[in-house]
Amino acid sequence: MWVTIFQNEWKMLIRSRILLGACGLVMLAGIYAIHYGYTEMNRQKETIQLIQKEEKNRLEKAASKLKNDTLASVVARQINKIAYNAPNEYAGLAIGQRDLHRYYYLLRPTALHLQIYQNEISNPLKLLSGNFDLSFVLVYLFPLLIVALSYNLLSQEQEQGTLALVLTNPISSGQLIGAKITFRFLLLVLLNGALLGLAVFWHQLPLNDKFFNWLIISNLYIIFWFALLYWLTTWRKSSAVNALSALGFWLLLVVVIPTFLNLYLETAHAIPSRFTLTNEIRDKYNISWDIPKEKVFKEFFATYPQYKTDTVENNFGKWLYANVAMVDRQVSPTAEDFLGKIKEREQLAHRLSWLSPATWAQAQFNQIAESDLANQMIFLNQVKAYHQQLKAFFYEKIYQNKLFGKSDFAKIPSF
Amino acid sequence: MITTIAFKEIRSAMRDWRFLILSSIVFLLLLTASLVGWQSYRQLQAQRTQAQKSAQNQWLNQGDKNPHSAAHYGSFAFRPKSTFSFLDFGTDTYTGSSVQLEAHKQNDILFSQAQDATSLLRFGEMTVAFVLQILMPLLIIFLAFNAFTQEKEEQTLKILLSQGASISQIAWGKIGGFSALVAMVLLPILLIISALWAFDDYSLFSADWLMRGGFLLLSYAVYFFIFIALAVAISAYSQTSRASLLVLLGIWIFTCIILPKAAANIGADWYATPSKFAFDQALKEDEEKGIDGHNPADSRFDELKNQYLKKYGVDSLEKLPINFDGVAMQEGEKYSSMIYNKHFDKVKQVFRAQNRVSEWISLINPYLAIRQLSMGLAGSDYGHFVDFQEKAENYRFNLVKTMNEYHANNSKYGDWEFTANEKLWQQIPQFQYLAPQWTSIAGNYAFAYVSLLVWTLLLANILIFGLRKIAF
Repeated sequence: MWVTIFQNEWKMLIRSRILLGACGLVMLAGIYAIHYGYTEMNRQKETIQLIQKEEKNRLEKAASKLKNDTLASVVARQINKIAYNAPNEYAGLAIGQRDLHRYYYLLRPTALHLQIYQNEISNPLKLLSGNFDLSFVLVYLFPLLIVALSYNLLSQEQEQGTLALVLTNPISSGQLIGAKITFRFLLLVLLNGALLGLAVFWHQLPLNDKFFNWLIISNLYIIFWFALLYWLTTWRKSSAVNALSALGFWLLLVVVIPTFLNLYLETAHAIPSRFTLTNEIRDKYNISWDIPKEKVFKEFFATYPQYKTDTVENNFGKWLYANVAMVDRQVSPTAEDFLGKIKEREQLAHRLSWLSPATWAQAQFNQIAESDLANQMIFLNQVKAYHQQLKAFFYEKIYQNKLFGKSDFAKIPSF
Repeated sequence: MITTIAFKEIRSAMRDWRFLILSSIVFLLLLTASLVGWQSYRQLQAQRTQAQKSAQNQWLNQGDKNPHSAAHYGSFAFRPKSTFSFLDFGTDTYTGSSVQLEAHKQNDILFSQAQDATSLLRFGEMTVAFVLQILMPLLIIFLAFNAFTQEKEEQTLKILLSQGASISQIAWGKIGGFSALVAMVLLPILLIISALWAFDDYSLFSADWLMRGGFLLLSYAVYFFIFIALAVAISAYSQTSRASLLVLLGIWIFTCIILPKAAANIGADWYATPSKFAFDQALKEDEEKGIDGHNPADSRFDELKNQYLKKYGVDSLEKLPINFDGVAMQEGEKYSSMIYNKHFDKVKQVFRAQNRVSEWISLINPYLAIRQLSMGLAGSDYGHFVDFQEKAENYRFNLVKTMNEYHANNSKYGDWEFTANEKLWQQIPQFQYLAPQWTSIAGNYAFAYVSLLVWTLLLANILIFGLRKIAF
């Protein structure tokens, strides 16, 4: 019986130009989305590679120009080392917030907080419109296709008067709906699999846990929508009512709940103005130039006893690095406070994403693609840690009055 | 005849509980969006006004110091929210709000709300504009999809026609009725928004404000008319309510969900945005080698030096009556500013090319047209952001210039110890941003006018002359 129904459904689908067109359109949208997502992510990769190449050249040039008596403190002020957050293999499928976060920094062992507050160049209108990536196609367009395919599961037969005829066969209406919905479900699973498979072949993605997670989450999302449509069908309303209620659910789950969640987080958990932070950084930095050197050194050696030396008088390099370390120490509580609040809100958002399957699926996709705010926070921590490493490398030389030799360039820690 | 039909539509909609529920939902969404929008507008505005004031205080009270140190200390420019931006946040959420102004460099405008926001932001923001642009058309579709098809299905269209009404008259009557219903949902909101203003801040009223507000109302009225007329026309050409509904929903999905995103992404795909790294590299290169590549920094300095020595007829910089350090710094500032503007213009051109794709597509998509127009009128689009950026940069340049000129005219060459005091700081007025007058930028939205106008004329034409041949 099921085979007959499947065959019949297949024939109907092939004959219906609208439905076939809708499937084709979603497929095309998916293909374009994969193309676009990877174009964008490859641009980020290329930028990182460009910087790395340029950095190598710059260091070689600096090494060739190095004099025999160059102090480490002089080199430390000139180098720029890259810290980067390269997109992972699956980032092209869900760009997430990667388009508005900084994904690389050029660092030197001077004050961290004077280096990390920067923007990447991006078109605001583009950011506002959002990314046409595969996660968008899955979260927004797949449910619409599911609605288009299934809003008239039973009502169509009813309205055409064929239902009674079909039910003369040894099959209940429940079984009929089940068979029809299974057919459509398999179709969508195939479509989804084809798109993911295409991405895998096109961009040589590894078949790791990310791949399987993506497959599981996208299919769970598809199952949810079919379950919803099944439930709507059991109401036994007319096709028009079904279509409207299905669209109403789509609107509620994909549009209204997410925007309200965002509204709630933006108002009830507002992040205070960043001005306090920038202002503090500027002031602490400017005041630091007038603080008596003895005081700066005293504080510095209390925090970093390992660098303690007696010959610090009138050494500009030693004073400068003690000074910037002090500025960083002074502003870091305010900075950490901000980051803490942002992190807290991000975690809350993650918990609340359960309120709609759309926000849940999107959050999961972004997590797989490591393109969400949480990932950016991890990157910022890595940047901080790397900056510490750079500092450790240079400070040790600076406070022991070491010269910087050609061979030392290769020893500068890399991210 | 037309009024009779219009009143009939209003009466039957008022009896339909589905319409009542849906319109109440839209009304409540609008209410929430305008109250929350207003609240956050007031908050941000107060924050930024306060911050601007305190930045000026800090500038004035920085104590006696070398003017060049003062230029390094610098100040901040804060972008005030435009009056109507609480209705339409536009790109404001994605653009920075403040910029540090200091000597030698043009800083980025930092700290957009978006960079701290969670991924939920990318689902869109619940603003009045969002409800009006995206949800209102859906309410209209729901209201009007069966305008004709129901009459056809219930065989009442023939009766109407036999009573002497033409199809065109019926169509316009229905359009009148639906328009009145839409207005009924919107009028209370309009009153509430006016009340917010009236009780809150009279200082907002100005000729420009009135013009922007008037155009906003007009543009949205046209936008709603387009959807009402479209729904009625499609209903007239459809055989069944189901077909009409599906076509209209399909159009809505394309117009409001798929095309806007696709247009922006195609633009970004075709015209690659340069990375900040490449941008900074280009600045550095021009700074070192000269803007034309043949005028390195050293020779620029020598040239300037010789020019001044010649001008004053002396043989060393020490003998100049002015401090050459100040002169050289100001020349450097001018040069770097020129380079920055050159490269910044390039970025703007890339963005403009990207956005042009959306503008072309807006010719077939009234949603993109109203979005562009609404953001522009609300003062929250990219153009207004760039205007702020340019005015902040002018302010910065003037601040640094004042410091450099004082430096040049009041000290001797090589003297970095001399100081200036509050008298000099007071020469720099507080940064005050004024948004451009609508009349001066109205030309930038030509695509949007054309789109709305063509759609209106096209649909009016169909509804007046085209309906005679429909089947029923």
